[in-house]
Amino acid sequence: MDKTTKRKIRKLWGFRLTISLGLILIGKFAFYQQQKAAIWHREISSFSLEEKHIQLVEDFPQILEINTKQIYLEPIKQTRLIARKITYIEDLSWSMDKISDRISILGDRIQELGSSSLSGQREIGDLQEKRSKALIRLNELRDHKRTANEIARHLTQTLIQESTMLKLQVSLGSLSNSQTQDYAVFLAREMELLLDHIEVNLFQNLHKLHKARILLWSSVISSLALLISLIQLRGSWSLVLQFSAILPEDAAAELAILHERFKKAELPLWKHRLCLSTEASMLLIALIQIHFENTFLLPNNSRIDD
Amino acid sequence: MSPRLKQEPHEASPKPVKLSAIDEDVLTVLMGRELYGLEILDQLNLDRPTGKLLFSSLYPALNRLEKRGLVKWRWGDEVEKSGGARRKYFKVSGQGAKSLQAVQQYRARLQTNAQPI
Repeated sequence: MDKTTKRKIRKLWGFRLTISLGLILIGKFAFYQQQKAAIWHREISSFSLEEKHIQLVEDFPQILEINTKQIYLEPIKQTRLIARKITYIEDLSWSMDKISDRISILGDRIQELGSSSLSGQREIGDLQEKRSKALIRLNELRDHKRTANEIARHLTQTLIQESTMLKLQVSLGSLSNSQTQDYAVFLAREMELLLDHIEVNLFQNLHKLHKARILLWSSVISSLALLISLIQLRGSWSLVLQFSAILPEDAAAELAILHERFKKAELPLWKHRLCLSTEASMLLIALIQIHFENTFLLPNNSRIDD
Repeated sequence: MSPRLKQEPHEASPKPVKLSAIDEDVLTVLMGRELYGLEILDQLNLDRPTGKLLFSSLYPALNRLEKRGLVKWRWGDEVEKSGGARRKYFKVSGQGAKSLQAVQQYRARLQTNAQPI
């Protein structure tokens, strides 16, 4: 067998060995990635928010709204009502003043007429009648005013009370507001923690899962490419010639003859290959043993075993 | 499988070397003829009572015999049957023949002495 052929065969075996090693490594890597992907997938599917977190997310906007609205609304309503009532009392008081002015005008007119004539006497009678009616009306209004004054006093007291309450409520409101702010800060912190929790447990795992899947698929594609190149290398040289790359020439020749024998015996291909591989392994073991024995040979020693 | 120490066989050496059972078998098969590895194995495994011999036993035995000068070998011609690789043909050297003869004679004497008195 010439040296060029031997070199080529050795090169072929070198390729095969490298590709096989690559395949093994990539396969192992793919297996590792597959395991990792399974772990991340399990983590993501088992992810769920705790009950308190769900409650927090649902209630957060409502809590803030309620806390800001309720503090000021009620006292303002009360104050407006009282102010309206006081305005009414003031109107009543103004009407009374007007009636009183008219009565005094009527009194003056009667005096003037009393001193003039008989026809004037009749007119005086009418006017006095009118005056007595106005006085009755005035008395009624006075009663009303008294009542109104009592009401106004009462309302003023109520207003004072209400304003005190308002002040109190405003101060309470500011207190509550600060409490609300504190609570809002607390809620914000809780929300932040929740987001961190989600990011750590969900987004990061999701990212890792994607990464593992990409690596898995790339390794599968690389493995396929290597496998195809390995298959393409197959059959480029005869089997026996390929053996001579790792075995001495005589051993390769022995295997070639064995190969011919198996062919003639028409053994199934798998059995044929199995037998040939077994014999090749045996030969390899024998050669290793021989090399080992030869290593311990001393120079000029002709009596090896004696 | 070239030997690291290749000695010329001691044709004139009077003292035969010790032989193991497998060495003796291989020498017996090779006596008077020239065979390559697979043929030797075929011959050895014909009616072997103690189990089939494999290349892993034959090759170290041949290497040992060759180192001790009990067998000689030569390269055969390149044949298509062996995929262009040459075979190695082994034959017994003079020293090998002498050693085997010595062992066989010793066995014969043992047999004679072992006959009932």
